[in-house]
Amino acid sequence: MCLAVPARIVELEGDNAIVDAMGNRFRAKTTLLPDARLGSLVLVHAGFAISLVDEEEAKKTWQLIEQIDDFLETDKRVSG
Amino acid sequence: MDAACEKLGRQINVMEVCGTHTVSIFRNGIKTSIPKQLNLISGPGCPVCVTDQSYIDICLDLANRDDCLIATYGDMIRVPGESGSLERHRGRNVKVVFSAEDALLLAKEHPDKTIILIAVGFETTAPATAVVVREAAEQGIDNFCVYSGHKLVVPAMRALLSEKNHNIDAFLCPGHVSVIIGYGAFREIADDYGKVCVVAGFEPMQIIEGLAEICRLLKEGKTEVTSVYTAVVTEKGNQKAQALLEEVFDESDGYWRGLGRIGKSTLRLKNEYERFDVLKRFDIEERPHEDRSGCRCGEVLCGLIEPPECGLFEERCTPESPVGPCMVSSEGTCATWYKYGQRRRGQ
Repeated sequence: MCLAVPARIVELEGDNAIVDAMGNRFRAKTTLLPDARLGSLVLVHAGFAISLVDEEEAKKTWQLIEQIDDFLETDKRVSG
Repeated sequence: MDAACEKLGRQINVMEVCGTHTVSIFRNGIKTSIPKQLNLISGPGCPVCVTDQSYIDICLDLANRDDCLIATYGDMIRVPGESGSLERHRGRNVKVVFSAEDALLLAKEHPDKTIILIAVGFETTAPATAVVVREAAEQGIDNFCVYSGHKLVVPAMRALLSEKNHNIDAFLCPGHVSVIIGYGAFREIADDYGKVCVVAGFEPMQIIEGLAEICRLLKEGKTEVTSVYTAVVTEKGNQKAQALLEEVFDESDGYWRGLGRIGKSTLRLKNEYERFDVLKRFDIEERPHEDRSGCRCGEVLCGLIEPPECGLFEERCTPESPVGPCMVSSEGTCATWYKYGQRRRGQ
């Protein structure tokens, strides 16, 4: 449950962002991460960006999430 | 890692306290690719699993109220209480949300109902709750409240180490909890109990690297706290999130499945935000009680037994028909063992 998902901020107005993670777009808030900018890659958990993350690390985590989802065959996690 | 284990010449017990680590360890077959002296134990790392039975029962009582709408993360929906699970009420009084903010939006959409956010999770999840409670206060959204079951990782580690019969040598500490609290938060475990703590990410090489670091530190006789997850974990963590947690929550004693009452281990809303606390709003008293189903999730969570040692495992308790939370949650130790066993048998 404590896995955060890397996502890129594709829209940003105040602390309201739209982020893109592996092609899925959803709302996220940047309240906890004032350094987040349009285009930033961030870790998102329960709808909040909690950390900046670099491209290489984001790719590794996306791969891991695909593997884990495949392993668990579930959609019940708090991923975004 | 091999050389370090050989030099130590004894079994080394490493506990991971993160459900995602548990899943990654099994998914990637890490247990079979490390030195045989290295024994990996799954601890209380799944927030759904450590949530006390009485919490689930209160959620179910609240789901019966037609003047309320429960907003819950998907992880909690199938956890069984005394009278079924929240799944039964889904679509009527229960909605699954992916974000704490969605719960606040529900409150705006349904002014005739009180929206209750079922707020479980460790320090990774709690800041989101803190933000929406503050927003509700600022915007005067009074038909919104939260049932905080948020828990803190370090007090649980202390509770485990205070047990006389524990056999833990070191901790593989959670990656994304540490994004918030910083790896420095584990220093008290090293200082007070002399245990090595290493934060690692979730992909297999990170876990191996974390275990190798643990072995190196043990071999050198150093009780240090460090992180191999340098991409996102700093020593001090996300201080903005920590400040928000401090602003909105008090650390309070709380009940954990398997571990019982642990001092200052749960986050409760501060007095100034108490009108958003579901327990205060509906005058509910938490009364922890024993689970009499024969489920041994409590012992699994403390690393005292492995899932196959529970008489219900794979018999009466399966992911399709779970008895305990460790089989319900996708990150639960029992569910992970079950899936792993299934795969192994299928090969």
